[in-house]
Amino acid sequence: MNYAAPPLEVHDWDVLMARAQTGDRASYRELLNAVLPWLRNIASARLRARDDAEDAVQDILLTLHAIRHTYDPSRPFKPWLMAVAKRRIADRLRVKMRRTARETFLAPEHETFAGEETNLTEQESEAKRLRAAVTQLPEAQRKAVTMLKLEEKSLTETSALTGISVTALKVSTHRALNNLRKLLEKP
Amino acid sequence: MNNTQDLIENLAGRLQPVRPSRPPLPRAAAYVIGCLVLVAVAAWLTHAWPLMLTRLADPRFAVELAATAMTGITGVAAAFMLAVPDRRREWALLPLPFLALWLLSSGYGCYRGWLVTGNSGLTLGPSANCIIFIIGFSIPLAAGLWLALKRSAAWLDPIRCTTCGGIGVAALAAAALQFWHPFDVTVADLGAHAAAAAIVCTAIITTARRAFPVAPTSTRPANG
Repeated sequence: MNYAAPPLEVHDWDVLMARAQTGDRASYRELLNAVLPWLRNIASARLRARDDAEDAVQDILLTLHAIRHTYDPSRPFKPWLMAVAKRRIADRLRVKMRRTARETFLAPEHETFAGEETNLTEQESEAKRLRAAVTQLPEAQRKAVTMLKLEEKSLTETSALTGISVTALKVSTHRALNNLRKLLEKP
Repeated sequence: MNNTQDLIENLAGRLQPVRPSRPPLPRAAAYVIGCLVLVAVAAWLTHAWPLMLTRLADPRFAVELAATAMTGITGVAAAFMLAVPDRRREWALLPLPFLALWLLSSGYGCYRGWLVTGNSGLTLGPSANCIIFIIGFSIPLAAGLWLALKRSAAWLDPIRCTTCGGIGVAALAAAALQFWHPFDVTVADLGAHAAAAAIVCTAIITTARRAFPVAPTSTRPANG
């Protein structure tokens, strides 16, 4: 009788995570890349919007990094990661439900002008002015305002992605908003 | 998609070695033994042991004290287990049978006291001191539990974890109280214990809610 061999990848994840705890960066990179498709599958099964699912995956990766010391190398890694993923996705769904409950969708009669084209043109021109103003900002300020305000990323996430400290990001955002205000006030 | 790849590169680039946490049950055992030693030494210094040994001859009191202490021990053990991501959530149910036994034995004590002393047990006399003792004693125990959990906990489920911890700490304080509370339990006593335990739990849970908001990192306000 043929017995199926245990899935090699799961065993590898245990080893890679144990190595990552010792500071082995190559193993850690390999582990994160290996779990990525699996996490994307789990996230997209529970969160329909693709962006939401990808944000959830990033949350899980950040959480994994922050609490990697709580993994016991004598136990399998996959249930540990699954628990982290489930918890993070559940948190995201809860926040989303709270937001949805507070939001009211606007009907056409709520618009200043009933005609769609009129409003779209106005929004488009405002957006164009804002985009033009953002491009005039110094690089650090542009990066901060784009990621934090336009893409609505968190400070922690932006700091992790850019390598800039949270304090420096706050200062850059503050300066960027002041500069944008001045630029947009010009006729 | 590129952002996730950037994130992986960033996380891998700044990886530092970490010391894996010890398993939760030995850590819970160390905490509980520390608490028991503290109470035993305090009872020895205040000469409370002889009276306690006399009172333990009463089976109802022995059951009540054991149930109270076990509620504390299992509550603390559950808190340590729930602090680790891959342990079952059902650990939260572990203190419940002992909690029920504690309430039943205390309730029986109330009934027995009512038969002897009538309605006098309904008034809040020395029981007011019980509330102060339980809350006062819970503060160092909760601080110790906080320190013990702080580094090792993942805080993915802070409310469930701290609820168990709160029940455990309040029950351990209530068990310690028996050394310096040589009276049969009355309805007022039971109410005082319940109120003190509720206050301790609420304080611990509120602290946890503020310290560990459950919102995922990328949905928090950008400037927060």
